[in-house]
Amino acid sequence: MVEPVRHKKIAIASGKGGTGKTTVAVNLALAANRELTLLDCDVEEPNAHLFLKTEWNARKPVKLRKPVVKSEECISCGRCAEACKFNAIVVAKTAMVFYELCHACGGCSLICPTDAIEEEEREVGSTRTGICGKLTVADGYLNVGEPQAPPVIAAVMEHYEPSLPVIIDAPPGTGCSAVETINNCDFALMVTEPTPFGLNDLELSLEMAEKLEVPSAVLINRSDLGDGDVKDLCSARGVEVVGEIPFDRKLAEAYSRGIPAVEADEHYREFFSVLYEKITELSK
Amino acid sequence: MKQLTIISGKGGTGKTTFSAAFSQIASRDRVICIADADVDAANMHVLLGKEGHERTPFHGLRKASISPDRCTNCGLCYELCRFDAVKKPDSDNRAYSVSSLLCEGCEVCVQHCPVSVISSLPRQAGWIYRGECRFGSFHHARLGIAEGNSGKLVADVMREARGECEEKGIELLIADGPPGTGCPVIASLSQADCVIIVTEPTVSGVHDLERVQALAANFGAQVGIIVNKADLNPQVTGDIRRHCENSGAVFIGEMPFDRAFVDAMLERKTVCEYSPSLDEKMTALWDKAATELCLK
Amino acid sequence: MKVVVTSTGPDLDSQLDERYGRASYLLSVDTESMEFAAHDNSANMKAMQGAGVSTSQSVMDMEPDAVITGSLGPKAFAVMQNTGIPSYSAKGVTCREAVQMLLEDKLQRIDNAGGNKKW
Repeated sequence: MVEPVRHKKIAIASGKGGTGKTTVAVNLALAANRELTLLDCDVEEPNAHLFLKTEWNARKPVKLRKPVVKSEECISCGRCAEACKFNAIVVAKTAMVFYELCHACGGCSLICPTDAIEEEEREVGSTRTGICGKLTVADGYLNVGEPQAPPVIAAVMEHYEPSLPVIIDAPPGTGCSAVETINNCDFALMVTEPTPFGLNDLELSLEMAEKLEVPSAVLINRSDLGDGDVKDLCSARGVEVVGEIPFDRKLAEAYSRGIPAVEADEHYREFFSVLYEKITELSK
Repeated sequence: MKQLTIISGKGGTGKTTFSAAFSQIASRDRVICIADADVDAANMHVLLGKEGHERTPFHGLRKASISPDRCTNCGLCYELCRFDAVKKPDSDNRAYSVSSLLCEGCEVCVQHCPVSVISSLPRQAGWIYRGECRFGSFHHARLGIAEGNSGKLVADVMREARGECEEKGIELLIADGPPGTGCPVIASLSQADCVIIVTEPTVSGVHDLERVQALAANFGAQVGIIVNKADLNPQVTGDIRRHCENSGAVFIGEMPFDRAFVDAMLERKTVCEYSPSLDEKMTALWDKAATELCLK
Repeated sequence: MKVVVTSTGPDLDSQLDERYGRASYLLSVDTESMEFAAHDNSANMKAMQGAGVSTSQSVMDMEPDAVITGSLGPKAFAVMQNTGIPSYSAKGVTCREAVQMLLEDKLQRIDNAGGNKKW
């Protein structure tokens, strides 16, 4: 019997925002020219869809179980407020809940001695799925004002289909959202720019990937706008630089209108198709 | 005292470059305090320096820890944890254990363990820095690698910066905010009097602008908008200008794409220090922002 | 009557702290004798989130007849509304002066959430 293929989860990540992470994710997916899943896990600012004509066919709310107080049964004992580490519940005449502070841990309803706290599912964000040519696309939105991105990221990740290759647009930085995404991936391509800011943030991202034990490689965008320090860092850390994209005003203008690089200029189709093969190989 | 937070929604729009330039310009006629609230990718120190800055440990959320010797393996913590942070016993651990990466610090397991063998421990998750730079006092931080919790660190940096302002009677605090709309941004905005959003005339810039503007509105802050790299798409720049008029935000102005932004950074200089003509443009933007957003 | 005042310091002659959730101290004052107890609010002040909510919990535990502060944020305002404890706004005065002004009916009752609205 043949083992079913499990395709590796490849994240496109960056320390600093605006280095071209989404551009790389979208163009890799398009240039691969095969059936593939593209997951946009940057749920605070999901942008991949702006470059793809996706036919959306499903929207699913992401819900968390949050407390509802039955005031007639509340004896105002204050134990829920004491238990809550997020200051999301307070006992005035009866217990009051502030949903935007609530992390949905369930602690208040567990501790309530009179069972006055029930839980109901409340929407904190949503995911969408759709089709764009050969691509299956999924993305997520964290509702504005909601603090916790990880549950929405996890909901987007559920659309991973092991039998298909997958490209994941990860959130920038090294905080909760980036950790939640990269920790669930098998390989990370770090997109950076060769500037002092890019260098500083790349170093943090590479350290994060190392700590999460996710192998990584680097792509240098706007490679002619800066200096050689990023390359020096990569060779010192033994991280491979898999490609460089010089600044191209035409590309920046196409991007501003939502046109993917592979459609703006054939030469990018070639570039990203080679890059796709390279990182698929590296992630094995 | 007034707090200005500079944010962008989308990363890479030039937010930090503007924050540093505005800090320099503002410091010419008054004493200011600067905070780098983008702790996930703290960059201000690259331009402003951090030599000799004093550092204090940052304690993130407390995390649960199970003492394996006394654990009876009842599994209640595993069942109660909503964050999948409790791991079952395996070949490495003979008792239940907690992944500090996934632990949210809710302490539900601590409160309900029938034999009280789970404790909640403070955890150092980074460093907070404080010192002087050439434009005033400067607060920044470094988040521990893969620590998460950047919202709390932002809140701590902002509290220290505001504390110094109050203590020394400093009238203006300029904070370089994080990207996105989640916890860290909320922490950088929660006490802001006004907000400048630095965006770019791209489909993603506009998309994120609308989300982050909605967030700033939640906090009742006055909002001004600057379009960087405006010439990359003059049409979208025009759309943003009209959008400002319709949404009650102040359109502060625009800045064309300029390689000097990168060249200045390579020399660890602000754009004002690097180029007299950029200094002039930035000063004009700042004057408009300061007037319209009541920062004079 | 018992009044809670948000304070920058631990005694009656400290400046009133106009911040509610982020106030340094809460002073619980007996207006007849002017005896007071100072409660260190730093745990609430340093909370990552919900400082106004947790400060309200501390205030309620003191069971005052009135509260004096600068202004209330939306969440703290909602809590104080629910408790029925009236809150009053004072600025640029010491805690002792604020209590005196309350007794002379010179303070404005806080009837909306203004913590985040600066214009």
